[in-house]
Amino acid sequence: MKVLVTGASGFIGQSLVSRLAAGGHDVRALARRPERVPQRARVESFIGDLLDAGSLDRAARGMDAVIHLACATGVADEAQVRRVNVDGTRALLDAVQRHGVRRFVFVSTISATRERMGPYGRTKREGEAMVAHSGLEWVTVRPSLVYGTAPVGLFATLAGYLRALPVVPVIGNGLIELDPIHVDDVCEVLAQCVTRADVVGKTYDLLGPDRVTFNEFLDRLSRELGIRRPVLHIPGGIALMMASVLGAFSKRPPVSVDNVLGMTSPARVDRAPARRDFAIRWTPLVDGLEAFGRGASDAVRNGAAGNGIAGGIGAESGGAQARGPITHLTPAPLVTAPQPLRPVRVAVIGLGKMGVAHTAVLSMIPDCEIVGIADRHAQLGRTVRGMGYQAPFFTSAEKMLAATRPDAVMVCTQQDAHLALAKAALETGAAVFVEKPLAHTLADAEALAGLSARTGLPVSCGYTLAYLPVFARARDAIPAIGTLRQARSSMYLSQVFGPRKGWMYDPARSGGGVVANISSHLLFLLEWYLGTPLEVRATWKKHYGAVEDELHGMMTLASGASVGFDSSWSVPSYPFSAVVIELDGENGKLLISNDGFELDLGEARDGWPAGHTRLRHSELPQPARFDVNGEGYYLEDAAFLAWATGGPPPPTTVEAALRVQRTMDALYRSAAADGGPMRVVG
Amino acid sequence: MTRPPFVAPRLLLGGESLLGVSRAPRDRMLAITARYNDAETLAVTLSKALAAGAEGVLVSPSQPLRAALAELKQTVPIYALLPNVPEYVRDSSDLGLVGAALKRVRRASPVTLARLGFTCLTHALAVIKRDFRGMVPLLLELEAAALGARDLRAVVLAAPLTDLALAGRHRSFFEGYGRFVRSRFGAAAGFETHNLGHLLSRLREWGIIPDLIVGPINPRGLLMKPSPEELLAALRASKVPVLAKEVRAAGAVPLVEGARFALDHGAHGVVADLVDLEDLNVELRALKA
Repeated sequence: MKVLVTGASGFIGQSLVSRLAAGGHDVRALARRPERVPQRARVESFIGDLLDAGSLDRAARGMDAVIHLACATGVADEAQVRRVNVDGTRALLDAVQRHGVRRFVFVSTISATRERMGPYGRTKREGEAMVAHSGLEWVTVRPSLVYGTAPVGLFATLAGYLRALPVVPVIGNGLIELDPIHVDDVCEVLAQCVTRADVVGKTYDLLGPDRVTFNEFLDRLSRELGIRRPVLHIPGGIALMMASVLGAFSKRPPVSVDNVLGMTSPARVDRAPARRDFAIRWTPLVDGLEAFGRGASDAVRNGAAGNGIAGGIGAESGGAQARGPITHLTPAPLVTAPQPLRPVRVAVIGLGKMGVAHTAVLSMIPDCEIVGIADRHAQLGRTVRGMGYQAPFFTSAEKMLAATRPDAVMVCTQQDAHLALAKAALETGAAVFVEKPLAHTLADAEALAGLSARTGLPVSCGYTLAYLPVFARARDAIPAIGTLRQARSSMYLSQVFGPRKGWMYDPARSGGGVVANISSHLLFLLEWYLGTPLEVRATWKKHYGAVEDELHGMMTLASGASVGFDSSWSVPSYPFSAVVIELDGENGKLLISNDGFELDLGEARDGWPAGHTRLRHSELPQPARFDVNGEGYYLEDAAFLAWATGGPPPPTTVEAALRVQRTMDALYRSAAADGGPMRVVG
Repeated sequence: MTRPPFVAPRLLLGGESLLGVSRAPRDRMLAITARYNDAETLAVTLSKALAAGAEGVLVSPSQPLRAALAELKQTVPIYALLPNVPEYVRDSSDLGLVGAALKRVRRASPVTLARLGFTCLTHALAVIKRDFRGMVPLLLELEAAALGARDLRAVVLAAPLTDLALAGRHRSFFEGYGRFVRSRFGAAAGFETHNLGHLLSRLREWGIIPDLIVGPINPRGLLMKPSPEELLAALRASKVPVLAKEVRAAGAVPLVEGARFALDHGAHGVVADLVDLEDLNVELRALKA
């Protein structure tokens, strides 16, 4: 999506631009000082000003959505505040309407809800009304006190006072309640507001998870910084008078009327709507303070302390406040992991390697309770209980479903049991996750997809690679290479070097060898990246048993482009499976592997620069909160549970998994026919 | 003669990449496994590492390592990372979890089998219940014997098992593990984890202090769970000596920079894997300094 961000060089704006770009959006970052806009792929710096209607008109052209952060805060001249916050917002709305931009996200402030409002709160309130009557798809958010790890904003102001002054001045009695919110949480909500339909026409008070009085807050910050100072309380009336006098002499006084009212006049806020509609992991204040304390200490060491102090005591962040560059001293994930939208009860069927891995991951997902585990082998139940997992164990999946009535079921058995178990779970009304591939035969996979369609219940399939940050991010780069000419792909593993036993090597139970059990993961990526092929040809080799150990295929897409597909689990030097995908397009090439991806473009496109770009997997956000064999399983399970509780569908839906199964079936039919061409059904 | 109290090392040479386990680019990992597949090369490297300041090596049992240790005249302090999980996983895909364990029993020496029987008796109830408290000691018996270490300083439980017990909130396992390792092997007891922040917080809550923990810490936040911020906060609050691994963040930062970040944030020491080192002699000396 193409998103215009105003106030992009500010405290929130800088983080938001990075967050949106990392989420795959193309961002036009409007700022008066573009040198402060984060320089990265997908971000276009655009010089403009709310007071320059022409620049707004140019900026809005071709955009799908606008997030309006820019504002005047901490400015004493009410006329100037009005020109920016009211007239500027009106000019932006006009430009947006002229260019047919649909979505408008307005960042207001909780100062607009106070019993007594200053110029900032009043003008923001007027802005809210204009946005609500614009006829656009609008969303308004009112952040509370916004903080981050960067040395800017109120936290930095207070930290500066604590370090520099013998006494810390506090306006009023300090009993006013605050709900500080982390800048990453604000950005996550704003990013969701751009795309979600269910938030349109709503206004959200955006508050952090912890409510504290200002005195408590100051005390905690003092402890975190290791600095104790006596506090001098300045009565509200005197402070208001001082702010008015200072405002008469200074354009940006150290304390503004809005600052004073922020410390003395309570806000009328409601945290419930945002909690209900945005299922994100809200950063606890204790964590935020610790991170800030660490960042502040590092900033002192780096000589950055004292720079970029903006706002004043009691000023809620409403937009562009930063006066110095943000330095992320420790990497903060810009993308958060999905999580269930409400408490969810989950059952696991099958306690092989995958069942155990999913059981571990589910145990670490917030709001997820494992209510039952089932396997027909009683000793596996004892083994898993012996690892500490104390959920009730059953040797019959049907009995477990009847006894526990879970909201969601993980089917982690061998492939030939998938359909029957998924059917039993769907009949109880549960959402279902099935390990890959969807089934051992195309007929079973079609039946399972049909069941999902009839019941309307979510069914997801375990194509984990879609959740690894490197493969997910690489997908965003594909449009930049232009029309695809050809592609090559491979997936190798060192696993089978002689006759093997077990269901995986029995085609009647698993449906095949290396493709069904391993490289269907690669087929999923190709499906996700390029779509379903029309026709395939394949040959295979069965070195050690009844299933194929190697398969080499050539697939033809609807565009006519060909896609090579090589797969083997009988090659040395691959202790872990390794994927390589090479895409050759009219504007360049993209090489994707587990290590990262490399993009070579003839001309800049879709936010990616011309020439060579390399992103290593270690440079991408790693949002999973628990690691079992990597990022994938946590994100996969969390995304499924989010879907099962009313969230958005993940990429690995049953429909996508069925398309993979159809391609796999065609490859097997072709290989059985000595490489003859086979149409992909459906 | 009793051993002096255990003091966690500040610098270890890591050998996880010998098993093909690495977050470094695949080409680099292949070069390392090829280079050290030769016992003599590995023996020379171990010797150089000790001379450059490494206080020992953190390794899992493998054929090249066993041969290298046998070839060396000097004693190498071993911090054993057990079990060799990649091999166990490969076996279990064919034989199942129990079958993979039985395979190791079948190839064990009579002495190892006797030890195994004794451990089985002392953990009889847990073994019957298939409790980790009983099963992991049996696995350690089999794997430690395969290592062939003359100077075993510590037994560090490999991350996949640590993390399974962590997710299962198996407090009594974590409590019993240290007792078993210290009494059976006369060595320190440690845990490797890929979920360092979670583990430190949980152990603190339970009041359990192992002799050492090995986990990922680096300036890029790679593998730092639940999040880099939460991990570093847990690290500051913990009393357990933590040895940082993955300090280069899959090759994204120089070794010294990664190590400095870890130590600045409260790590006790560093594990530099073979795959992290371009010039072992120079870089280990720099780290030691």
